[in-house]
Amino acid sequence: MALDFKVLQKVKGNPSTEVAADRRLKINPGQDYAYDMPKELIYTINHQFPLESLFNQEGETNEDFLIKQGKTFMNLLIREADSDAFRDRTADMIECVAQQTGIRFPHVFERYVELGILNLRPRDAWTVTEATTKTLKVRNFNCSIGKMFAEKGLDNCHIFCQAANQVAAEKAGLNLKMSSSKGLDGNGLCEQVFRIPQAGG
Amino acid sequence: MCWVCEKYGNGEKWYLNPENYARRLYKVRKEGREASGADADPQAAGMGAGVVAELVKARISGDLKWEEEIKRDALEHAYQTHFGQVVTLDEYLQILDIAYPLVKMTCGCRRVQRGMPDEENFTCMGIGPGMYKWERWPETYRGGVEFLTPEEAKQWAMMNHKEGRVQTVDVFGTPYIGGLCQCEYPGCVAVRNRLDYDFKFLLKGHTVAKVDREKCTGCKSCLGRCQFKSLNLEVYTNKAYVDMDQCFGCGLCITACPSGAIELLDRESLPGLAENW
Repeated sequence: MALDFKVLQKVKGNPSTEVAADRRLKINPGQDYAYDMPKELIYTINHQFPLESLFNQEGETNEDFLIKQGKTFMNLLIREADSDAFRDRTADMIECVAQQTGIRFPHVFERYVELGILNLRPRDAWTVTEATTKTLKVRNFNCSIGKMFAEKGLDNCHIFCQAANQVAAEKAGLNLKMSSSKGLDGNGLCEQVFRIPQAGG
Repeated sequence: MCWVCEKYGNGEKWYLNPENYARRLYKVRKEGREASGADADPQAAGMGAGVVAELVKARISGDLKWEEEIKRDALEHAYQTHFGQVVTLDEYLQILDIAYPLVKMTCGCRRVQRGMPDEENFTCMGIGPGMYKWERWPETYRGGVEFLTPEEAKQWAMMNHKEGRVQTVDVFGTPYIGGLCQCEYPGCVAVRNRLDYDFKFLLKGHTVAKVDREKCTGCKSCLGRCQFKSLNLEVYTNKAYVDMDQCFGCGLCITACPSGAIELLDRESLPGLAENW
């Protein structure tokens, strides 16, 4: 309980003092950065990994194939998004903060998840509904991949996403519990949940 | 429940709903000005600061209808874009577990109102993914920023509370909460506009303070802590007295009371105050 006279008496320090040495970041005068994702990254990724890659030549989507394609996609995305050509200031700042605080979840990981969505299905509607240091939830309202699978009578698209997100988690240096829940009528509604496993859990 | 809870709380207090702190990190880059960082400055929103000059004119003219019109129009806009609500220290600490990143920054209000030098003015907190793009607004963040862990942020919040600052949540595009303020009258534009002009950019909190007269020793420790002019000393009893109608429920008086004579009650449990936001 924080709201207590005795507890507050023990609190010492000046709020304006730097919390740790070299923690304070200052404006770099005259610098003009780019923060959002460039369209050119979408063109590059789509050229190398078109959406049709999710189905093999026979139109099959067995589990092994989807896992392989998920890994291929995310490895490609990470390589390009972190390259000198496409890396942005948001990525630099996320990594800088992770180094300073030691906290890599959710944003080091979330960055790859978001770029994955924006590159593979840039016109989709989606949002982040929770982003704490323990839980990340991403809600897709009309997932193009889910709809594409549903049109073919398939419902295993989550295998592709999970394989891709697993690569992102490894790149971010995180061990995560992942789950997803889809709408049953193939309407493209899908929520992905990522959690840091609790000790003993 | 206040109207914000009803719309954005999912059955709970809206500022304890993690959804109101979550936002995408990325969008596809647009050409031109946005790419060079010319988005609206978050602090330029200013909690009604932009219309106060107009309001003063109306007040001097004595035209009450004009004054009400200014307030109504400004609030209609504010409730869709930028407003705040008082929270207790306990709630503030809970928020630090559901919002990330947490960024210590200088207070724009106190810089403008009191000329506070940046190095003595790290009393505000920017929160959420927008803070990774803080360099877009060099004037707002000219004092620099410090990204904190939740534990560091909690310690820092307690320091601010101890120094007597009211803690508030601040919306930047309803219902997205992008700031946690810690401020005081008269430096805080939100508190000042609410008290001096009855401008409801800042909503009252969900609690109200009440003094236990048996426990109150009349030491007056609490009196200087109230930023909302709701605490007095009753001369005939020599006991602290809270004007509950005026109380914003920040809890600053409680943590100043060595005899534990003040408690916070749920605003909604008091019929006369339940709709007094």
